[in-house]
Amino acid sequence: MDLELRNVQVRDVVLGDRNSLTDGVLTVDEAGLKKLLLEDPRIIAVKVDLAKPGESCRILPVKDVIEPRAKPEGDIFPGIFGTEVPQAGSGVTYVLKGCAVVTTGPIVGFQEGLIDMSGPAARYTLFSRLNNIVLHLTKRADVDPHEHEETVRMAGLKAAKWLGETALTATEYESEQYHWPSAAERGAQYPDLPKVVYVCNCMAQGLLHDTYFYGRDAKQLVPTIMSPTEFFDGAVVSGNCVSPGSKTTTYHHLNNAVIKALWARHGVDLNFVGIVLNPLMVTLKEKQRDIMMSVRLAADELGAEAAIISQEGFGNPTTDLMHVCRGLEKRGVKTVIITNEDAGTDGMSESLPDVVTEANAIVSTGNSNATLLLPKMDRILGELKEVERVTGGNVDSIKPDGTLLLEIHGIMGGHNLQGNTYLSATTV
Amino acid sequence: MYLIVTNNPMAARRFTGRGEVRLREEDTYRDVLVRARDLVYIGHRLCNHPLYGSLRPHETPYRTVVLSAEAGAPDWEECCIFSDALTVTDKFTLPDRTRMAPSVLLDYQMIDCDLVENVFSDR
Repeated sequence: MDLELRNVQVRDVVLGDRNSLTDGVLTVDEAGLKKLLLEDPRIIAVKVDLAKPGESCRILPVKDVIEPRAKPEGDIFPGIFGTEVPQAGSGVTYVLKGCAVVTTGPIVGFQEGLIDMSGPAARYTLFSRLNNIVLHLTKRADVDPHEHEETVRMAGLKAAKWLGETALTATEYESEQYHWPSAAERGAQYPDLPKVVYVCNCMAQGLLHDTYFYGRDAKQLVPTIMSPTEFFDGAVVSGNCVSPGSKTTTYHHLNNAVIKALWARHGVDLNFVGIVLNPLMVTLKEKQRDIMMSVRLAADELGAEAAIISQEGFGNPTTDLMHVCRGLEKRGVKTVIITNEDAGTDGMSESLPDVVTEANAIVSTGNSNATLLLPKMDRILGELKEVERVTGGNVDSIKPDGTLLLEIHGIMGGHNLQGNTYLSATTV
Repeated sequence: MYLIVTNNPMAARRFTGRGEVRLREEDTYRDVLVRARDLVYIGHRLCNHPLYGSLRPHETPYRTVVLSAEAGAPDWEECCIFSDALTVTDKFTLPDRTRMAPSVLLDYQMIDCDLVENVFSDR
């Protein structure tokens, strides 16, 4: 498979009456965007706002963040639109860098995620550094929470595709080339370098805890082998926003940081031989099956000598994480895991709900219970009151002076478990 | 058939017919786990992970644990899973249901049902 990503830089976004991209300024046809989203009869009102880096602006509750992308031929987000499910990951894909579509508005009473465009919380998440096109959608009264989730998910993807198409005529872009040969060829490449497999865990548990693979619910999926370029074309889409700090948004999937890091070192000091997408289920038997299959695909099918596992969620998914690690280590595959920790506000508590002795190499993306005092913002997009019910917040979060006490777990992508976060330990 | 331990009235209604439902509405999240753990200790097998979903013990007041109706020899691994789940739960201050809006309580009940539903739907 061969894919060229054409990255078109957006330095500012404005609202106007026609979609265009001139000198890095993206103009969004506000009326056109509303019309597009109102095609879905389940939506009765759309509000479009812009939130830019450095502004005194807070977005809450955030459901998903999506990078605008489009393909001149083939489908972006394959399986989501249309009647066919074309294969993703080949050809050309245009990407609008520096901006994102953000969906907001409560679906159930406690859902999720905050993005501050300035102040202390802005230091944690990459979304504070983007020009965000914020969609606040109002549903028809009779639409139930499951359909509401789907409505908002689809609206975000539709908007991202539509805006992404603005890039299709761009002549100035930075090109990234990806060549992904067959598994047999990959295995034969770089015989002197260790073969590394990436196991990408994704949530597959229920409403607001789901992931979509080629538009289909990942609860119906067994662990499967994917190419990096399928991720870049949106074959994996997020339906997941509960516990926002440790959740993988669609933006994270599209820009999977582990894939990018492995690619950068492919042929240098490692041989990146494959990716296993591992859905994290609710029942123990499904967990056991998926753990067994992830280990088998990585070790037997892809011939891993080393592996890296990125996590999603916390609590029961830690069982999947630890047991895939154990299974791989027992097969002689040296394994590193990426996870956050819940060590209490003082950082003194046992920080993982499950652990195995084989997990002897862990990259921590931080203690999600660490709290921040956030200043009052001039502008709120969404509903501030929701902070009382989001992960990391509570009924006492909003202080009388308007400041906000929040765990970093409440920040959208605050300690992303693909490592796509600013919260990190670096060697100096 | 199953043994369903819960404090969620919506789950009790929805899963009637799936087996014996042991509902105690006044139970906290932790109380439900303790009741279920004691059943695992006497040999009922665990069907869902006790910490399913991403709502943590200080957020949702509701929990439903599905166990096998029959009891055999206790499973060491499942006993450990449960002990660890209680250790995690004890790190949190449990939520006060009286301070939550009725609509939010219903949403928490619905999410609990939705996550547990998968235990039955995969068979």
